[in-house]
Amino acid sequence: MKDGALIEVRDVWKSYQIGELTTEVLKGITMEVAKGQFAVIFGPSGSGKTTLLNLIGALDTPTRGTISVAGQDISSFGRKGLTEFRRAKIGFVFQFYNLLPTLTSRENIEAALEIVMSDRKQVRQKAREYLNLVGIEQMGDKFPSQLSGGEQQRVAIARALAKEPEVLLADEPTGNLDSTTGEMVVKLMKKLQTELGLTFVVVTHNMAFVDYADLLVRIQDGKLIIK
Amino acid sequence: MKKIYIKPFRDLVQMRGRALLIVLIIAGGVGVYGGGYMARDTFLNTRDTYFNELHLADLEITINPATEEELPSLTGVTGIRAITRSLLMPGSIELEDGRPLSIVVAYLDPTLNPRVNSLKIIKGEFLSPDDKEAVVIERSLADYHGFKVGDRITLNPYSFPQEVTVKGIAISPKFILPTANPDVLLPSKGSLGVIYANNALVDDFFGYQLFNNFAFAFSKDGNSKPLEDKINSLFSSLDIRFFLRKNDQFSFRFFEQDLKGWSIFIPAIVAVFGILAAIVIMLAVNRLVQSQLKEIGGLMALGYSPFSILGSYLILGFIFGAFGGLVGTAEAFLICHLIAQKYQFAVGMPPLIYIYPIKHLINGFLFGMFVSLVSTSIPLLRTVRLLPREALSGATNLGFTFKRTFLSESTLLSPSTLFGFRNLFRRPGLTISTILLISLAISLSTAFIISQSSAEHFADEAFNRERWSALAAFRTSLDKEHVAEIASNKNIENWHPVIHGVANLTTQKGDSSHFALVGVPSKNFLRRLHFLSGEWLKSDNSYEVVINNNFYPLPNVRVGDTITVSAKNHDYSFKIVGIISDMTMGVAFAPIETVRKILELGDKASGIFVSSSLAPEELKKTLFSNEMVTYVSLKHEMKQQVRDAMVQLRSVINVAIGISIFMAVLFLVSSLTINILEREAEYATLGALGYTNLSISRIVLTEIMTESLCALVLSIPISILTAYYLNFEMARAWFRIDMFLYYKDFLTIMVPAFLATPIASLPGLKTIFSLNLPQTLGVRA
Repeated sequence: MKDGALIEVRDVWKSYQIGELTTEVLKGITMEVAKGQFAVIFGPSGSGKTTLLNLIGALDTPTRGTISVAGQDISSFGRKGLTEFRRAKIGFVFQFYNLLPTLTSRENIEAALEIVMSDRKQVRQKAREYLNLVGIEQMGDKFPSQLSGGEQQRVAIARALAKEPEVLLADEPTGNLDSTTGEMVVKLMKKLQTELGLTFVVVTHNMAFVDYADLLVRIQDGKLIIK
Repeated sequence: MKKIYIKPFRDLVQMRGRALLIVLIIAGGVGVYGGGYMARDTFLNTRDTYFNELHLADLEITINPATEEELPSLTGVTGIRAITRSLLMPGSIELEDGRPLSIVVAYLDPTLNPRVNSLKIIKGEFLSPDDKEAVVIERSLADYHGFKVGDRITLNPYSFPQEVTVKGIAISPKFILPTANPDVLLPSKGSLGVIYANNALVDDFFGYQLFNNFAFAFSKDGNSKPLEDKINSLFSSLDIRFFLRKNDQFSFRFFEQDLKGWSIFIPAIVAVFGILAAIVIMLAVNRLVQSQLKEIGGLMALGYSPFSILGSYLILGFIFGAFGGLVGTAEAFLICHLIAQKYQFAVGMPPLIYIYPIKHLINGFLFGMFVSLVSTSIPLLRTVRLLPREALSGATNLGFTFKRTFLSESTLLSPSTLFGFRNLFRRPGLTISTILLISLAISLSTAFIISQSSAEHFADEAFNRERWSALAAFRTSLDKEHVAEIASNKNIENWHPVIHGVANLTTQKGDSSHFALVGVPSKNFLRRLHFLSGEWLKSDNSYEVVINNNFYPLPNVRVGDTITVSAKNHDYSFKIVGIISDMTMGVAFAPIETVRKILELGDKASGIFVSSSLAPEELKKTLFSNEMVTYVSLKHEMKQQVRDAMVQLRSVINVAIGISIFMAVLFLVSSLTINILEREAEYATLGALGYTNLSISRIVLTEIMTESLCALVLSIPISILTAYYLNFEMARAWFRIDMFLYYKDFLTIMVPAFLATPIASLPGLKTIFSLNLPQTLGVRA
């Protein structure tokens, strides 16, 4: 791995077998993201950008090639290894927030923290800090159904950040929000990335992210077009 | 075929595991329905076939032994097709282990097989006029005591020993269900030996021919009641001991009553299975519909009518119903044979003659189809009423609508445990359905156990209350001194005489039935009866009667009613002072002196109740040692026989319990799987956050074990109510049984059910563990 590269994707291929048909989604992607960078992956629908994000986030494994994150080659990990890796190193933000509906905002964040911390008081304190950090401290006792889309996405970001991952991955984080709210979320993410010095990888169609990107990657038909 | 109608077939592939469970659940209901009714019809067919082929008597009268000259002439009585006359002599034999066994010897004309109550010789041969010592034994002696052709038997070893040789083994229509005491409506295998002997054997002894039993076969045309009354009137000058119409025969009555109970139980069980199956199908289809809401919206937007959409899903219901029906039909044969064989063994029937009426299979199939179609359409009715826009937006009302954040400040519960708990309140309908499903499934099995256990305990209690040790019946009615002489044994601590006769009881509304009229003393009666209402007789001379009206031969009788007792061609007005319930049928207890008077018996008695501290078998031998004692019934023996019968019947109940446990497991697995899969996107989110399978299992188990615990608590009252219902129905078909609740009866099913919950959740958990995370996370959680 090159100096400073936190994520290193080398000649990664990913194919899916659907019946007798094999679909190549990624065709030899090679890229690097340095520690502390705000990387934005964009491209048309079906280009393979979410697949790439899933591979970096250890939700899936490549058919061929290697992926190293924070010095660990995750492409050879088994299911258990991938789970442990996600727990320790990765934070996720999803398009549909994926908050647990029966937990309040604060409890959603605590649910992410309790698997890495055992001290209940510390978990609670930290959840409050991150609610504060994303600017919705007053919403801590609200359930997801009582929050707007933007507020839910802030909770999702706080949840992803709270366990202090090495990398935060976001898949279309503004995809389900109106443009104004989406813009606010983009700014919030950039602000947090700067303040916390975290590495962000965002998959998006939203061109508002482009202005904030340290690294811009375009994928088309499973291939890297621009870096 | 329109493409929309191909969709349900593909949905089936997607649902395969759950679809299979649904098919099995429907098949269970169909199988129990078809199998239960086919088994019931098989018993009735077996009974009726033996009755018809072997000409069971339309009427049987037993009197005190009389000579040819003393018998009334039946010349000119029309409607009698055939008569078999015989001398029935109760007695005893000694078994290999030294125990005495009560027997009845029927002395017959050896020249021909009786035309009424004929014998079907299954081994050896019928009696021969040339061989006085040849006997034919009824199959119970062979089946339960090991006697075979060629064996020598000593009749009445304690009074008048007679050596005979077994020449044949036969089935008699009178004894297709064996019992020592036909007054007690419970078959007890091997409790009574029946031996058919050459009448020359006893004629030589007495020096003249005696008869006491007359079996009549009537011509089939018309009402037999006037003919029965005519015969009753002709024989009334003799002491009628028993007056049995075909419908009062033990075997006939037992089947009528017991199978009436089946007709009540089977629909009740099937209804419970139907409800459970309907809930499971509704949950499964609802989940499918919710997951396909956008597709449904798309179809609506394309212009498909709600009916065509409904129709496409109903195909799914049809497939469930059809496959469930088909599998259930096959299962019905298995269940029929399983129940029939257990029951045959339990009650001691001869070989069964199976029949498989197609109507039960068709009804079962239609029942499965009905449940399936109705329960499939219910979740759809709301959905097809949505506007296309609403369906396209996927508005499924899955949102969590808690108003208060309860348990939020708890430091005992972690957020993930809280998640598990609160999921219970998220879709109350789903949670309640799951709890209800599990509790119903547990309750049904538990109720069977409570019901059976109550019957066993009730029988034990009833016998423990009784103060008599033995009932001895005399060869003929004996006078006071002779009775006192029999009872003057130092080992007999207490005794009183009893008179057993027959009378016709008629209510003021005109309902009438023959009852055993039992004359007993009003004081120090050694039996302890179970009163449903009223009280015991006040004096030995009053015209009062306490009746056992089990099976309602006299409808709507109450304490205080006046009833007409007809005996010896005279009518007497009696007041009903008490109504009892026990395992006998059609018995009326009246003051001994009154009964003596109306039966014209002077100071005679036909038997005695005794209490003694002697060992039961010793007491039996002591009583049998008197030549006038022909039959001894021991309380100890009866208690054991009832217990044995209960144990045998438990094996039939165990089949029902086994089926309901199997169904319970299916319900448990299906409802838990559906419940778990409801939240697969959320478990996928937890997986993405780094939760291990173990942590996710903990959350899932928190939810389902809480549900299971609630279901167990709920199953307690449901089990009690269901058992109460079963006992209530049993009381309608049989006799009253008090309910006894023992914690072990509850724990037998509840503990394994609770422990099985995590195992039953394994299929659902396995699906969660093998989720494709990227794909699952791609949908709205």
